[in-house]
Amino acid sequence: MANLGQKFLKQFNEVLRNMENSEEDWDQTQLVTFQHAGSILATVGFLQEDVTEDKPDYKLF
Amino acid sequence: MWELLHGSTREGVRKDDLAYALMVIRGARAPNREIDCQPVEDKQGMARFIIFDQEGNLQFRKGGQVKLGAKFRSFYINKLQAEATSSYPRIGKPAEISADKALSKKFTCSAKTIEYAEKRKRKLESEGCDIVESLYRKHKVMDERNKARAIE
Repeated sequence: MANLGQKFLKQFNEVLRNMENSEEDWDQTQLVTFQHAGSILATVGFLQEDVTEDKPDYKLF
Repeated sequence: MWELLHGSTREGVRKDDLAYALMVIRGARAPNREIDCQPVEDKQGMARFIIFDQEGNLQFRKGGQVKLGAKFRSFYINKLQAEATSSYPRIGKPAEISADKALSKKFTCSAKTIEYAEKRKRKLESEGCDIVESLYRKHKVMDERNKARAIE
């Protein structure tokens, strides 16, 4: 857990930092909105970047 | 997933909760972080395994991490595929990562080796024999030489 978790968290935090820098109205103290969560999942690879609302993965999300 | 993390009711999810859920989906398991307690009565399915403590932190009931991993298996598959093609550092043991690098590394010869190989090839062509025969002959000669040395 520790090794896998630490590596994943490093990647996750990097994505959050990038999002904070690029999104003017969001910082890490705020809750992650639905749209932002979708972006995060697509960026780290859990959702395919070309996912659309009719895809099973989108419904799962 | 959004509903499981109470995203609709709280109008967003905490980054730590999202990270924890994604870590579990990625394959991390920490049974010591699971809590042995009764489910909330009105919950159904996977939601029965998810609870929030008094401070609003996401927690799993016993067996919840495995259930979450199974429910979001397609996310796990997407993640593995993304890792295989991503520029991010791969998640895995260092030995596995270096083995992958070694496999993807192309074999390169030094200039000296190429020069020697070309010289050898030209010599074999001039003698009119093929490489298999040449190697066989070379081993045969070396074997005889070794036997002679052993007798001496």
